[in-house]
Amino acid sequence: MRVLVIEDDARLREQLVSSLEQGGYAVDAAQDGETGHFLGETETVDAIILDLGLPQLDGLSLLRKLRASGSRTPVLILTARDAWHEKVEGIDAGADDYLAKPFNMEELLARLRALIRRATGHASAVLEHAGVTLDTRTARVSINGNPVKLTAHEYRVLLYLMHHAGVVVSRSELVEHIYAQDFDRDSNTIEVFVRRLRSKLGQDVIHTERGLGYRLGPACG
Amino acid sequence: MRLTLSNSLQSRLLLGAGAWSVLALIITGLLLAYLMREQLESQVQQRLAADMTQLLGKVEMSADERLTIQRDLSDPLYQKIYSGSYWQLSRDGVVVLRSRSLWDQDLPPQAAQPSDESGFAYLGGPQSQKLLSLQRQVTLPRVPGRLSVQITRDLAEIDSAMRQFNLVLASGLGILALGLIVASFLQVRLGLRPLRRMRRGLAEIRQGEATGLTGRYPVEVQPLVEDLNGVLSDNAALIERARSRAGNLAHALKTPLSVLANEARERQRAGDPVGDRLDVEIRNMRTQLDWHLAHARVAAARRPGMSTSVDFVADRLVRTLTKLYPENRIDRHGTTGLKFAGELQDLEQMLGNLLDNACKWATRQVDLRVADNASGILICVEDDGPGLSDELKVHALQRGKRLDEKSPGDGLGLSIVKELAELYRGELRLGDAPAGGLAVTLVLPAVNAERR
Repeated sequence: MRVLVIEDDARLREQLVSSLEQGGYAVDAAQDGETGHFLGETETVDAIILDLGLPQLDGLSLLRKLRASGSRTPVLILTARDAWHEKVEGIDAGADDYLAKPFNMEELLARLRALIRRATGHASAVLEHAGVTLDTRTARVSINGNPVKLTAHEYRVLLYLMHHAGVVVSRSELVEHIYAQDFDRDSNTIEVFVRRLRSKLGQDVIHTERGLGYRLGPACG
Repeated sequence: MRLTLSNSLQSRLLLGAGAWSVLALIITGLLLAYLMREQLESQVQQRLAADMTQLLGKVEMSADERLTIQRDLSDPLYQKIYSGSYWQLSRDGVVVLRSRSLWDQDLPPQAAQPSDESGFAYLGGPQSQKLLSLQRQVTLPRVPGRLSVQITRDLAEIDSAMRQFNLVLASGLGILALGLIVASFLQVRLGLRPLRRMRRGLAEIRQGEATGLTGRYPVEVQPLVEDLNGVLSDNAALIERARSRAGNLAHALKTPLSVLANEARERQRAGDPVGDRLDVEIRNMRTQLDWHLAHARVAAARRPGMSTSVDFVADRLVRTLTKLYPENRIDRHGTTGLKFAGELQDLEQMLGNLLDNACKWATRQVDLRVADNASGILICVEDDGPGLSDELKVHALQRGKRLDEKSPGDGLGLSIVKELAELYRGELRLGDAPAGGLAVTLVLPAVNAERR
């Protein structure tokens, strides 16, 4: 899962990036509205954490532009402005959640998980498919009840596949959602991660659809 | 009475103008009546003098040395019995001749000699008539001895004429006085109209319907109006600046506070005791910030006469919170179309905090009930969560406390709502919802209730 952080305070941005990376996300960061808007428009991210008081382009305008161009990426507003009329404005501009500063990092992570889960149509924080159980809150994975240890990248690949279980996911799509923008992307590494996942979870959990990509569990629809 | 009169500019002006006109008219009336009577009496005097001359010309000495009158006087009143017009001729103190109108009576002699040369005096006549009398001592060439002639006329006709005149005069002057009073009343009203307009303008300002006095005022008042507008706009700007400064300060502190809080969390996780201490202090700072920020938002906005649609605020909040808590259902029940007598942001702050709190604790369902009664608008927010014990209910309303200290969410919770409600002379009550959760009832002033 890939997250875009748009926050102008350098210290807070650093903290957000490091906490999110620890939480298993690939993170892009922008320090002003224009850059944030550009990244939001051009990069494929699974969620955006947005500050409102931004230089160059304020958060609300950025959000409205993003929604106007058809983006449906979940957006969490993280701001010091916490009066109710400001919340109403933020939600009406198209935000999906609103968290007031100062905030608790655990709560931010929990809300972010819930946002992504809702966006992909999952009701529970625990994803279960083809015998694989993934708890998004604790990042623990087990197969048929047996815990499995995964690296950060393996976890991200599995998480994305679990979120889109039963659907074929292309390699490039996986790359988009697993690596941050400035990461040296090599789609061959995806193959390596999938191979490792298969060896840990069992050969029949992730299917390869020739020429198309990967699918977790039996095909649906 | 004195107090109310002297306290009203209008009464003062009216009283002054009224008292002066009435006094002037009374003096005028008395003077006119006096002059009129003088005039009438001097006419009678001239007449008496003329009649006397006529009478003396007709006095003759008969052969037997008796005095006679050739012919009667031209005025027939001297023939009519007790008409009040009499004459009488005395010779050496003995009445020798008298008018027919006197019949068998004598005129009382004028006291000794009249003090002035004119020889006029007032006398009581027969049948208690009031007479004006003229007496002269004469000597006639052909008549020996001292003759005294007395001639009178009844004053009743003057009295009746005066009564008539006084009646007309009094009613005329009365009408004039009334007219003057009405005129001065109109003048005062007209003159004071700009002041009344100003008072209405000030009332509008106090009710928050206007920000200053508008329109032109007379040159005597205009400088006052301009000064007042200046003070008002300075004041508004000052409040707005203080309010936004307080807001900016609070907001500017929140981002660094977030950084600190995260740092403290990291340390706590690493087992550093400094992290715990930092965490406590940061929480403290946050509570203080939120508390004072909420107050800065509110205190400046309090003005009577404001009206806020409850439906509008409820719609916005329910829409927003449904998005923020998609797993909860928020249902609205009860009366629509109610108006809260207060500022929009304040109602939003109160209702928002209540609904947010309910959503945070609800399992699935939140109910918002709106009703009104004699005490105002009743807003009840119920959830189906775990609810609060009585002990915790008391704790929840204490100043600056928040029950959800483990999960810092938004807003200050119930205590700030309670304080806000009390600023509006409303109240906040905690109870149990039928579904088992907390039921919070907010009582707020309604617009119609205040006008009632």
